Amino acid sequence: MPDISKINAVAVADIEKLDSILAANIEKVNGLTFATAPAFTPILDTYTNAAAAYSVRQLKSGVTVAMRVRRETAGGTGDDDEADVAFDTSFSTPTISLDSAISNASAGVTATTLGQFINVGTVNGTTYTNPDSLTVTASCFVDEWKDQSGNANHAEQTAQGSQPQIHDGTVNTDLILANGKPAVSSEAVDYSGFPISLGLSQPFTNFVVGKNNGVGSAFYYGFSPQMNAAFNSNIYAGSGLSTTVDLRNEAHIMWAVFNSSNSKLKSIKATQSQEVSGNAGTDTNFNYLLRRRSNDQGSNLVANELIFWDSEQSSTNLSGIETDINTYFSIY
Amino acid sequence: MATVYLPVQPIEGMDSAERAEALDAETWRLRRPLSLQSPQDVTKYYYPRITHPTTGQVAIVGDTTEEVRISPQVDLTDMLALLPEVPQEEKDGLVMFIDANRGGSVPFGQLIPSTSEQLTQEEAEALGWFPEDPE
Repeated sequence: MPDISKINAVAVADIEKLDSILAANIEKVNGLTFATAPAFTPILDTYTNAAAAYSVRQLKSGVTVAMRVRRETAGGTGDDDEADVAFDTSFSTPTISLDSAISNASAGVTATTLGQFINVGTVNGTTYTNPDSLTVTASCFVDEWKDQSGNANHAEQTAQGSQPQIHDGTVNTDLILANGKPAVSSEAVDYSGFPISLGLSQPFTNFVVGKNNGVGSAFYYGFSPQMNAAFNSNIYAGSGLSTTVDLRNEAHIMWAVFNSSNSKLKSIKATQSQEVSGNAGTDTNFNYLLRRRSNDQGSNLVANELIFWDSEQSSTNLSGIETDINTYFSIY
Repeated sequence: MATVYLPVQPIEGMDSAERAEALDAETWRLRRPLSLQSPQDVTKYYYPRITHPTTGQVAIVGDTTEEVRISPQVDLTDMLALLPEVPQEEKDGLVMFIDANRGGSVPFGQLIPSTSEQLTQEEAEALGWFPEDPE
């Protein structure tokens, strides 16, 4: 029996669902074998012992909750209520969506999905009901980005004025996206971000995926060490290590190995990538994730994923992790 | 938007960080009183706070023009207890002002006591509030 490689000119490996049925659950189409995408293996099941891992997609088996969010209705019904947001398992790689189940909500919340929770309206053909009787579409902020590593290093922001966003409150619009995937945005809120202390030591490795929507710096973490997706995308841990890859207004992957004079950095966008090595310094204890400085011009970071390992990943692993991330986020 | 830095002085029983945290929590409770908060709520404060890299003093980073929503269920008891140096007449005026705006909103700048130090961005920078941030 011949295999089917495409349906309607779309490669089978890129098809999530056919008539609402998961591709993984379809064996044949019209009697012809349907060669489906490989089963989902979360990245941290392969590249184990992460120190901390934050993402809009599921990174590890058994992890079901991506983040905790707070909605704002400008003083109306449901203002400042909170809920946990699960990964949407209708996707082959579970990822948050407006269909994500919510749980552990504030008293009085009856919504069961994120789309209902924020009264988003109609998005991509799906109309979400409004069980909580909100009078507006709520803005939605992240007050806790769950750590999927198993080490409970959850990125928490308890001040409402500093919480990054996942929905801007515009009716009939999807979650904030970067690279076509939901993302956590520090664009609109000065000093937004998450205070954090991971207790890493050198060497350590990290990967990030996101987009800098502006013309200035975009710090995934800092003060030092820090990773900046900017004009000369760089890292700093007492000394600077830069690439010539300009990541302003670019979707990207960055990874770094912080190991004093043997540090490495790679910056990747659709049309360019560069790997450099050298001295990045010896600092280890950065104290925030995704902080937007009010005195920085155009800091517009929209982040999909950050993963940290408290070790130096091998060249093989660096390549494998990069491939896994790019397979999902399609940066290049 | 008008950013203001409010360095917090210690009071008896509370150092600067503890008092700043408590004031920040009470500012949040103007909008979401404890009676409305759920035990699992993560959000507990209104504004970010920064720590002076040399002195360790903590400042609340507010916005004088931001409208702070006042819950109809607001309770000012704990907030007032955090302001021992504020003249009683001024505290009485604050209570009347909040009561008059239950269910509405007030500019944050009108909630700042006269006894509080207020710094602009430039003044805060000149006083060393911002740590070295390598580019």
